[in-house]
Amino acid sequence: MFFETQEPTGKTAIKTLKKSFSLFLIFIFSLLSIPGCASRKEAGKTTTITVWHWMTDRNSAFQELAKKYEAKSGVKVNFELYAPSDAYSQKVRAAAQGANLPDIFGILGEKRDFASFIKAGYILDLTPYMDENSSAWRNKFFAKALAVDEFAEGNSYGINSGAYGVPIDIMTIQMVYNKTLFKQMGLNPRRPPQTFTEFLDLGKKIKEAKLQGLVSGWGEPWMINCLANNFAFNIMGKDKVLATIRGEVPYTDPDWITVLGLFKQMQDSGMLASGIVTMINKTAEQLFANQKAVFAFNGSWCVNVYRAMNPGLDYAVMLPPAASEKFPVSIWGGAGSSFMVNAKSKNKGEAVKFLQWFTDCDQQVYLAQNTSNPPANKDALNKISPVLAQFADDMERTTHPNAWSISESPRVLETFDKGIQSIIIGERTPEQIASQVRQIKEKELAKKIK
Amino acid sequence: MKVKDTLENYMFILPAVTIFALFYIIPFIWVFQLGLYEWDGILPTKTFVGLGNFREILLDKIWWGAMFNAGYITLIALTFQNALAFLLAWACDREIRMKNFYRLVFFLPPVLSEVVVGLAWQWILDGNYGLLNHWLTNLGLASLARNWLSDPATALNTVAIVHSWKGFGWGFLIFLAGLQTIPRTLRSRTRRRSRCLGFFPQDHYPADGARGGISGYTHCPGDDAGICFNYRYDQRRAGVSYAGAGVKDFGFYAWFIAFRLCLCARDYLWFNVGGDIFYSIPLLQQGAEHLKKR
Amino acid sequence: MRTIAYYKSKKIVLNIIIHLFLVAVTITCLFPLFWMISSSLKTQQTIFKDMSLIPKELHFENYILAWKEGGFGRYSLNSIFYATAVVIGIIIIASLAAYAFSRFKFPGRNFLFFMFMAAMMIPIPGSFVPLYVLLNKLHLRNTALGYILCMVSVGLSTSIFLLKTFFDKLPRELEDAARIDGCSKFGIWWHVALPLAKPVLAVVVVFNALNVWNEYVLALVVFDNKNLMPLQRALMMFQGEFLTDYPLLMAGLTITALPIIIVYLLMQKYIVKGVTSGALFG
Repeated sequence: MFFETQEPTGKTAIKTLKKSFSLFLIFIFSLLSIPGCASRKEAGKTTTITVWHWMTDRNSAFQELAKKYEAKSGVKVNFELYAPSDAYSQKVRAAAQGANLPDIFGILGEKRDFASFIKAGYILDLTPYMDENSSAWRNKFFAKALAVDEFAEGNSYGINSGAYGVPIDIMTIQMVYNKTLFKQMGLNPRRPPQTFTEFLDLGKKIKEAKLQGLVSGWGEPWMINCLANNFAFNIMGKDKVLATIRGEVPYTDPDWITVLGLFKQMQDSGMLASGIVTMINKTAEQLFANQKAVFAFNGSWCVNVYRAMNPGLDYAVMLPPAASEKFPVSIWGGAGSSFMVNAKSKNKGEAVKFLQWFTDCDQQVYLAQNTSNPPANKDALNKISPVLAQFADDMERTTHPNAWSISESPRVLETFDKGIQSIIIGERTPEQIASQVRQIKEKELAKKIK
Repeated sequence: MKVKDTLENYMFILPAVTIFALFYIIPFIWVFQLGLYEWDGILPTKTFVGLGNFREILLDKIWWGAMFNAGYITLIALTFQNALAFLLAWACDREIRMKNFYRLVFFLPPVLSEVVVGLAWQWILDGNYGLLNHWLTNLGLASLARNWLSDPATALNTVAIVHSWKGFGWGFLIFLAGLQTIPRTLRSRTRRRSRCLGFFPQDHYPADGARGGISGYTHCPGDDAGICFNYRYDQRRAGVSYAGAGVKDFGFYAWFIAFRLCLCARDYLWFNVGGDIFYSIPLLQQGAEHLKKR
Repeated sequence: MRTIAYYKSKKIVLNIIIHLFLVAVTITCLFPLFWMISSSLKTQQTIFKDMSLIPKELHFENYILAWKEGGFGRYSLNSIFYATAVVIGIIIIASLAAYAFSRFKFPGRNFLFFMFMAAMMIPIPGSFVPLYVLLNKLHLRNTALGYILCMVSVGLSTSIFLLKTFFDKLPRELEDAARIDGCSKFGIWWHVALPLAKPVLAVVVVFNALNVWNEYVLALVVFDNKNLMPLQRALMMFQGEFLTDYPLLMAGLTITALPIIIVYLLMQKYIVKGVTSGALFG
């Protein structure tokens, strides 16, 4: 039953095996060479610029602009989308290892990573292009947006000062509030809470109305850090915050304990939504879009999200409430997304030209209208929707860690952020967290000295 | 003659060993080597720190917390998951009606994409608007309603249960296959000695390396992506996202290797503790043959 | 003395309990599937407002939209190709190796097997970048062959283990008979061992097909050429950085889940039937 045919002897058996295995390989090779042939034919005489990005919702707008550019200049622009953003980061890093980066790409992450890419020689210095024609290109941008892609004189990363990327939109992170729910609770929708005390007082009213107060993606530590940092700037000013990062001021300073205490106060007043410390931002956005929460702490990208989820949502933008009169309220903002040019690309010149066209007024307006992201080009401001304009209005108040000359160590940040999470759920007190953070900070400083 | 024989033997394992050496050994050595350096993944230069990274890991409380949580989930998976799989297989084995239907249904969780699983369970377990709390309230058991994923008291267990839910399908399949091969006559005569049968390594941690090690992640890949929502609790409590949230050093691969060792020890245990179902199939066949001959 | 009625009612009660248990677990298993399908028939606005399992309006066009926008045609062909290639590759390579480990004695046998087991326990952390660099060096980056080889290596250890334990307990009589009749080692492997291993092979097929089908990040890192991307890429098109198109995503997920369910349906028969068939009794 199993061996009707006589099997050949050992040697020929090995031969047949080798044959079948190599046939298998040949089969595979031939299949994959088919697309290979096709793509080789395409690589003709026109210059092609390849752009890698992660912005799924803007992909079609990008493709449209690419077509426009090709019609105008004859240069083909290939926008390649790699989503989600984490996978995109991996791809860029892997490609850097293999020196396979495209002509234009973006870097997601912190300034430190940006600096590393520059040091490794992958990023083209755009300063000369920015400065030509008496800084024509540079002046188009909001200064704060460009600052995110610039390195200042004497920065702690060891990079020569200059601009190494261009912003294609701006972003600010503020609070939004639901006007309909305000009216429901008998509050004036045109007058959101200005001070922290006013904000806390609303907590009671919200509880009575059986609504959720503030939602935000505080399951993601950086979002907590953002608001904490806003409070810190408000309470002690930028200089003291930066001094703390440098190690000159300890985290157990009373001002820092006040900052941490604000979160406890928010929790005690009932203002924070239930489950906020494990909430991802998408959930927070859903809740706000479905009118289940009165406030949200979110960035300007939310305009697009809310529009898709609930076009009828009636909401407006407000600054985080001021906890102190000493210093102005500050918010995070700056470039939303940026593009950089590969220093090792063969089409550097064309790539830069394309980016100059891309950040020009008309294209920026097009992008803003189609993707609901505030433009990076100042001149495009008066042509965008009111809510977007509200987000963009406060650009002057913005700051961003990527625009500072120094950055806090990740372990300190993590202890700080997770510490606030435990304050909110009542596991720890602000004083305990402050001393914990101080310990870690001292360890990190000691490492640096070594 | 003997040499030719041995060469023939090697021919059998040659493709496997070649691929293995190329695609596992070499990257593994490379990654392990990195554990001895401090590197952010981009710069052309690395700093040699020897065993410093390992020492740092072992002294890290958050890491040990993560280990504990992983161990706990493992324990639940080992006991609860396998028990559930076996009970279901046994129940299905008895029921002739709808057996094929159940066989299909119980294998759905492993098949479903993690995105769906994550979203669906998030929706069910949400503390404010979730279905579970909704049904409990309707049944008059509102006091049992909790913030399942946020409440420190329930979160770890909830994650463990959902994790078990995703995985029991494999065990069920194998147990059922094994049970079905036992002829009816044999069952009534022999006490089933094939106890605690082995389990299938169903360890699909989404984007393994992505979740753990490589720099540039500020949160679990794909906000919506499935099982990651489970580990959101871990992230908060035990710092599984430790390597993710801003820790860029490749040096922490050492940490991640250790973490994975812990999880994979679980798989290993599954194979060793208790025989394999596939051990028992031919054994039982032999047994049946003996019985026939008698 | 217990009456027949007692035994009968005991049986009925037991049956009811078993049924309830099965039904309860079935509901938890089916629920995400139903939720996925019903969500795919809603719109972006209603998806979180409408809590019912059966939506008020059925938007079947979501499937067509998802297919078009996601570019499912090309990507599913790719995924099917990769899954098939990887499964065939693993079946051949793993069963050869497993058979050798099980039956033959040669120097280094235990050591090599132990290495494979270790690989099963310790996957490479953050393997994507090292694999990328390796493929780059081998000039296999951005090629289907490179990806297939990577996926084969990923599934190799487990498959070898499963097959070896099966072969270990396989009675040698048949193989001895074959050898007496003049069959070579390869012949025995091909004609005797493999057909008997059908149930295990079925499990190996399902396991590896599922792995390849759901894999995404490695494909993204290895491939630059869009035309080589697998199915999961189409799904990622619906997940934006800030905004996810849930109905289309759910439609896409439903489309993606179907082939694997079909594969499972085909294979599950083998897993049970193959074992009970007359191979040894006939």
